[in-house]
Amino acid sequence: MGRVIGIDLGTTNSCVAVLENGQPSVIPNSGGYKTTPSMFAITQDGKRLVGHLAKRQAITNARNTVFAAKRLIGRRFDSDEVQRSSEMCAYEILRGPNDDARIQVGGKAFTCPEVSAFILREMRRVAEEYLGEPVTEAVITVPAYFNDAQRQGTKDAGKIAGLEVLRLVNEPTAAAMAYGMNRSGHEKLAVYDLGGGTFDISVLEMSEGVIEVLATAGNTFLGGEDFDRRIVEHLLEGFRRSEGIELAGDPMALQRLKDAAEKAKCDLSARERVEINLPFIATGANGPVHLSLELTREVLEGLVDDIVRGTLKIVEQCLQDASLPRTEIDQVILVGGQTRMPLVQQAVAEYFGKRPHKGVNPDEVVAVGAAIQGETLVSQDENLLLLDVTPLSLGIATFGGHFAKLIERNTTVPVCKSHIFTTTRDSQSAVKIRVLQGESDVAQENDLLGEFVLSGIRPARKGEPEIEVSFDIDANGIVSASARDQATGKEQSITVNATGTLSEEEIQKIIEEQELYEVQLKE
Amino acid sequence: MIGAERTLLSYLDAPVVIGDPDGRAVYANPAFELRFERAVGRVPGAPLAELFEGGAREAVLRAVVVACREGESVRFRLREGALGFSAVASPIAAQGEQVGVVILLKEEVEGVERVLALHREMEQPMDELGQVLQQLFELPADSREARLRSLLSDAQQALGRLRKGADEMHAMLTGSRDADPIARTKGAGSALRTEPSALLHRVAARAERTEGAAGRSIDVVAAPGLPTLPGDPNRLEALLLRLLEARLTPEATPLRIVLTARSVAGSWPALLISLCELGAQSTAPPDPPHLREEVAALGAELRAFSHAPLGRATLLRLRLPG
Amino acid sequence: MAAESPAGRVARLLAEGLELFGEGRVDQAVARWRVVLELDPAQQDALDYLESAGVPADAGDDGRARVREALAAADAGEAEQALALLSAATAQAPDDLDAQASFDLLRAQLYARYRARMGDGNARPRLSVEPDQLMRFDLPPEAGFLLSLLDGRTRVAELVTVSGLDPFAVLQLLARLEQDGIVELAA
Repeated sequence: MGRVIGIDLGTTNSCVAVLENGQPSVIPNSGGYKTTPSMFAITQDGKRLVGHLAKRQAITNARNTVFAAKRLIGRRFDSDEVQRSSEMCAYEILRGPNDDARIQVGGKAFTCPEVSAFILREMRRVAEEYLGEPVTEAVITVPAYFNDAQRQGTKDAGKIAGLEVLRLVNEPTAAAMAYGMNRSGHEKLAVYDLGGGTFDISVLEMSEGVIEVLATAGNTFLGGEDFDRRIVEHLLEGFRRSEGIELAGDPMALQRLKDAAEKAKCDLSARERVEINLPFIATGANGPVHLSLELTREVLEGLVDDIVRGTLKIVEQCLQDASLPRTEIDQVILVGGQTRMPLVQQAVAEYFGKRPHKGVNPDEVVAVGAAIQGETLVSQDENLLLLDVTPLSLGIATFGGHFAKLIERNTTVPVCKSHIFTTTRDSQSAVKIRVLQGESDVAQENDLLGEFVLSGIRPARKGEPEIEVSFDIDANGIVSASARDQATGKEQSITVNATGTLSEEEIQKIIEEQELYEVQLKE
Repeated sequence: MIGAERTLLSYLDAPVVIGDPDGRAVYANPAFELRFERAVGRVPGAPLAELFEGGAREAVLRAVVVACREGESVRFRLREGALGFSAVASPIAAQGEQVGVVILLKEEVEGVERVLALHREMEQPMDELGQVLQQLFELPADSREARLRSLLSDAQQALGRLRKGADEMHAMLTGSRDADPIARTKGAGSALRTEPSALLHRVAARAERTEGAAGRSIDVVAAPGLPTLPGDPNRLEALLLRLLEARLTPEATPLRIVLTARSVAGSWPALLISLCELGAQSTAPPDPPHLREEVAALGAELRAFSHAPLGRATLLRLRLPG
Repeated sequence: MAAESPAGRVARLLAEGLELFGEGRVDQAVARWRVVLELDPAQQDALDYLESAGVPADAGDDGRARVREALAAADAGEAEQALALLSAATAQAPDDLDAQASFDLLRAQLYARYRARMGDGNARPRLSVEPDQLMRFDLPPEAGFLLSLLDGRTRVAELVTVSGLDPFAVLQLLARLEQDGIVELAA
């Protein structure tokens, strides 16, 4: 049997790990790096670049370099997140035929799972090179806040990359697994995950090898890249004032500034001040002009303090969802390279009133946890049981535009729930079931995951037919919905697909209230 | 329509719509209203065509007209959003008189059915293209100019329709939706503009695979971000490939070949593409047939230059817009 | 594009021209000084040297003469100087397609030469001076950018790809940087 690898498919960086003789090993790539930038590019001459090479030309070839595809996967084109990404990115984001988001680079439009698959394929290649054998199975991690469509898209990406995805695991859960490897007892953990592009906070309960996720929250547009951006803006402003030269429109200069900003940020975690030197950054009236600025930790912290405070607001929300005061958290673990920053560690420590645990490498811990989960699945080790939750409530649209929840958020998965609904008109022969995910009582304010029609209902007075609507969420968070006419036994079902629209068998429609086909709750 | 028939149609999963002789919809079953939402509340009364949109509207109108005129069923295809349908429009006759038309739709399932339908659509433009090309070959030399242009225009239109069908078929087979008409948010599509660096790399890659290349590699020296050329990239690519292939013969002395591109100002802004044969001592091989005409058709100029021991360069100057 | 500053290049070309003139290689010396005047039309030393050689400061409107001089320089193995002269000739007469074609041919030859010197694109350049010593050189922004990409692991072919610059410009720049001892090309 082949080895199962654990992949942390990050917004900004990815990491792959495997268990060797019961111990986790993070696999370095050929350049010796243990993380690989989650970037894909097509050069002008048609070459495809992934990882470090793609990152190095990200600004000079911005229009054809994709980053943070994770923010788009599984989302509708019209969603706020996609529209926001569209404004921020130099690469083109298009509307796909399923109203999903597609990415155009190198003259070709790619689906988001395809782009993620390029990264996963690279991680697979790194693993195969290291292990010296083919790799076909993986456990892949996703943010805890990912909804069904995003999870399905990630699974599809794995399939495209030639990997059988044995399980999708929430990132903070994977981190907790890595942390809990050699621990025993009963603890409540807060996992604070600040990566390159996303922020997640989860509250977990660990007890004698069982990990239960109590609550989770996050922000898919907040991460280390925001810190880098603040530094770049600071450098541009400083250079503008000292030399009177504007570098913002110079792609070569911006690439160097971005690289230097990221390096300075990392160095300032260990030092109080750094020199940023970029010789020959521009040409002035008297010849070459160099950028030479000192950046102190104090200045950096002033630049990013509001970002760090913003994460704590999200932490507050998560604790409320878990109905836990912060004082009941036993341990705080930090995940993501950005948590190396002293300001972040200090802010988290102050908030929880205890020092975060630093026994795990924040860049690698998620991949390690994924590798452990992979080994657990293969060896069917019951000693470490993982219970996860669905992050959003699930239900259907009912008469009058209401949202009837069938499964509340933070319900442990896998789960299956049913409810009986009925018709709203006499002789109504068909019902349309619109599967929604979200928290609003108003149906149209939630995300449409899919819809389907159950027809052939025997003519009857309104309110008489009994239609059983069932939802099933598997361990990966993938949703299936079905409707069954109790009188005729006729049944229709869907498994919600990656694009958040209908599957191939179902009718694809834009959301609109259809009085003719609405259902109402059966009293 | 009597109640029993209406009830029967209401249970059909297939969309059905019926029109009167004036082209107005008199009945649409629930399956039709479910898939064509704009029909809700408008039947009876609305013109049949207004229950569809875009290209579907034309297809329906054409089918209804032909069905009523010929008195025979007409098959056609239409799209509603991302769904494809095969349809049949059939005249309804009663007591020797035409009393209406019924359109029955069947949702196309991705796969064999759809591919077969696409293939049927592709057959006609392929036939047209074949006929045009045949006429081209048979043209006497002295009447070529104007007639040629007209025939080429017909051929290009047929080819465009053929490509559309082939692209859609490819999209289905590969599971990729790239070829579907995708609404774009920013700027125009790049399909009809040539990026010089990418073009030269494609030409070099194709030439390297020919037998005449005999393992030689072809270098490309072109900066990214050169101004793009309007028009069909295939014509220029084909021309450059012919030029290269004429030089890549097994008998030729092994040479290093470099393709270069750069933009220049001058009487007009231009892109200069050069095929450089380093160290070539002899005269250039003869031009491929009709090369000069093809160059002129592109609105370009061709110049050959040689200087021993440097080699030979064949330069193409292409006008840039603006 | 040059790895050295304009001032440095002028000084070098003037000196080389004098040496060549001293050896009786007048055409090549003239070619050097003409290049200097392309860089600085009022450069007095170059004007004086050309006058001493009995050659007009400017080839005038005779683009053909410029092209001939350039090709003569190329035949003598002075490809870089020839390219500079052709660059001037084509700038002055952009519609002269013979000049443009000869420019492309010469550039192609130089490209092939640079590429061969760099292991056909497989050499892995790295800095051969300390980073804080770089500022004593006089380099353009493109050189600064290219130097920031060097790590001793990335091959020349990859540098061309990620830099987004003209491939010829990258190789020429690397060749000059190597010549000046700023960069070394590891296999």
